[in-house]
Amino acid sequence: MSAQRTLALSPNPIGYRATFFAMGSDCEVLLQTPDPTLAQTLAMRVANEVWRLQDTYSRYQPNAWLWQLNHAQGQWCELSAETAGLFAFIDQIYQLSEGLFDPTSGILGQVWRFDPHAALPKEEAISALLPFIGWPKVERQGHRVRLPKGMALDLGGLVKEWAADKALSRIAATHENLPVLINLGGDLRVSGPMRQDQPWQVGVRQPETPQATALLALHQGGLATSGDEHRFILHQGKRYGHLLNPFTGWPVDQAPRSVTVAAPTCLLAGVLSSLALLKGEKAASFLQQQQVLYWMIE
Amino acid sequence: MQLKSNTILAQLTVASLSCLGVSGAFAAEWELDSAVLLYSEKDRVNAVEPAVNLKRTAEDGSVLGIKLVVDSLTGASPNGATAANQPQTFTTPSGKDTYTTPAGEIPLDDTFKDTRGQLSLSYDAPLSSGNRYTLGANLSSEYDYASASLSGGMTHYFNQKNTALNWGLSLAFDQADPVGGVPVGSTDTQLRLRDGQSDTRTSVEALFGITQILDKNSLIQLNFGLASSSGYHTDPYKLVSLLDANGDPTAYYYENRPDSRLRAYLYANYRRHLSWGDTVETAYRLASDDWGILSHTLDAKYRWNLSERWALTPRLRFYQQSAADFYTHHLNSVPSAGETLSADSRLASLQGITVGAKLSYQLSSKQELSLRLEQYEQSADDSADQPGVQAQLPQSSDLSATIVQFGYKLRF
Repeated sequence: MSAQRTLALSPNPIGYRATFFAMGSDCEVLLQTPDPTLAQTLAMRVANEVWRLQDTYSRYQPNAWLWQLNHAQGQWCELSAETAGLFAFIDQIYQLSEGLFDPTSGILGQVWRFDPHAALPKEEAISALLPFIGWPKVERQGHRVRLPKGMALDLGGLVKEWAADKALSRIAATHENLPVLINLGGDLRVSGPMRQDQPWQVGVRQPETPQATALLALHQGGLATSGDEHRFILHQGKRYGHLLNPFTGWPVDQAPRSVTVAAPTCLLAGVLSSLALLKGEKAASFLQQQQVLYWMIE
Repeated sequence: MQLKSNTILAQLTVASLSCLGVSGAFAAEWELDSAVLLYSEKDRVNAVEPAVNLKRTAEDGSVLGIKLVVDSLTGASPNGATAANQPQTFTTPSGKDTYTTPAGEIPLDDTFKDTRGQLSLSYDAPLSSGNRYTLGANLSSEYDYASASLSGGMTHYFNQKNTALNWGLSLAFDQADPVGGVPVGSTDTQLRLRDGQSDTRTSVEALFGITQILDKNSLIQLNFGLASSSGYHTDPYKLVSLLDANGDPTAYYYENRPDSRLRAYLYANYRRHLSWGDTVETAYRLASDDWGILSHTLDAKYRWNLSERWALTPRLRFYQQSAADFYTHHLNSVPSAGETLSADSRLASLQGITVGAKLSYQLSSKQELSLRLEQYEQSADDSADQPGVQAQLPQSSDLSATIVQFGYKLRF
C-alpha cells in the first residue's frame, strides 16, 4: 500500500475541492457545500472507496486480489460478489464487441513496447502468446474463479471508471442531493447539475491543440477517455497505436489516438470509448450510432 | 410504449446494472471524538472532565451517537456567605462537621468533592421525504443529584436544501438528594430545619430554528427556545449572610429560589468561509427569564489554516447578565417565611470575558489532535453600597478560571 494516502481539502469557488492520489492518477472531488467538515467526510469516503478498489484490482500491488489471481499458477481463487458483478458485465461487453474487448489481452504488453523508436516484436513471440488470450477461458464456479496457467487479467480499462461511479454512490447513500464531481485522472462522474441547475464546467482536450482544452457543460453522467496519443511505434513510416486486437496480437489499424465519450455513467463512457478505439477506422460511425457526445483525436 | 434497445449503449446500460445497479455495501462509518478537559478556578474548584463521543453513520444516512462524560470535581466552592472581619465557622451540610474561614476571606466549602457521570444517546435519521428526525435520551448522575431527559425533533429542508427548518421538544426530570436532607429555604441555618430527603424538578423545552445557506461561502443560523421548569431550583448548600450595620455577620440563612422558571432565548450564528481558506464564525445569544436575568453572549472565532495540517483558532467571548430579582449580596434583616433569596454569585449582575485559542493538527486524513487553552475572567458590580467593613472585603463573584483541553479525533 502506498504511504501517500492523504487527502488535501481546500476551498474553491464552488465550495470545496479535495485532492488525493490513486490508481496512478491525480484525483479530485468537488463538493458544492459551505460546510468544510461535511466536505472532508464525504471526500474521504470517495478516496477510501477508490483506494479500496485499487487495493483489490491493481496488477502491481502484491497484496491486491487481482495480483494474486494473476499469480495463482492456475489455482482457484475466491470470487467476491462485487467482482462477480463486474465479470458479468465484462461477459456482456465481450459478446457485444464480438471478442474485441478482452481483459485477458493485456499479456501482449510483454512483447509490445510502445515508444516511437521501439522495434516491432517478432511474429513468433506474438503468436506464442495468443493461446493465453480469451475471456471465455476464465473459469468461474459460484464464489471462485480460476485463470489457466499463463493467463492474466488487466482491468485497467474499466476499474478507474467503475471506481468513479461507485465512489459517487457512497456519497449518494447519505447525501443524494449534494452536487458532487469526482475526477479520477480525467475519468469523471457528476452527481447531477450544481445548485440552481447550473452545469459543471469540465475541460476536454482539443485534438488540434493538445495544450488547450474545450470547456464542456456537463449536467449529469460521466466522461471517460481511452487511448494514449503518446504511446505508439513508428515503423517504416507507419504508425502502430498501442491498442491491440486480441485475435491477431497486432495494433488495431487506423484506430483514433484517443476518444473521449460522455455517457450516463463513467463506466459506460469508458466502455464506449474503449470499444470505439477497437473499431479502428469505424470509431466515429460507431459513436454516432450510440448517439453520445464524443471527442476524438485521430 | 415499447423500447427498442438497438444501440450498444442501451444494451450496455442494462448490463452494467450487474455492477452498478445496486450501490455496493456501504460500510458504516465511525467517528470517535475524545477529549480531556481540565478546568481550574484560581483558589477554588478544579475539574477533570474526560469525554468520549462515538458517532456511527449507517448506509441509510442515519447517525447514531453515544456520548459519555465523567466530571471529577475537587477544591472549594463559595458557600454564598460574605467575607468578614473575623473568622467564620460553618457546619457542613451533613451537620456532622465544621469548617472555619479566616478573617478577610470569602467562605469556601472545601468539602466540595464530586464525580458526575453522564450518558447521552442520539439518533438522527432521514425520512423518505428527505427530511430528518432526531431522538435523544440523556442520563446523568452524581451522588446527590440525578437527571434524565428525552428529546425529539424534525428538520425540514426547502429550496434545494438551501434552507432548513428544525423544531424539537425535550422533557427532563431531575432529582436532588442533598447531603443532610433538603433544607427549608429562608430559615436560619442554626435551626437545621429540613423538609424531607429529596426534591424534584420537571422541565420542558421547545426549540425552533432556521438555517439558511446565504451563498456558497456563508450560512446563518437562528434558533429560538422556550423552557419552563417547575419544582426544586434551590442550591441546598448555599447560604445568605445576615449582616449588622457594621457589616459583620450575625446569622446565616438557607437560600430559597422560586419553584418555577420560564426562560426564553434567541441565538444567531453566522459562519463565513473566506476566499483564502480561513473560516470566521460569530454568534450572539440573548437570554431572558422570569427571575429577572437578562444575558447577552457574544462569541467570535477565526479558524486560521496555517498549513495543510496545522490550524489555529483564536476565540473571544463576552458575557454579561443582570442579577436575579431575588439575588442579594447579604440580608440586612431577618427574611420572612418563604421569601425568595440567594447570594449565589452566579445569579448576580456580572460580566465575563473568555480569551483563548485552539491549535489543531491533522495527523492523517483520519486523525486529528487538538489543544485548547482558554482564560475566563469574571467580575461583578456588587461591591457598591456595602455596609461597614464589607466595602473593603473581597467579593465572591470575582472569578478567574483556566481551561485546558486535549482532543483526539479518529474516523474509521
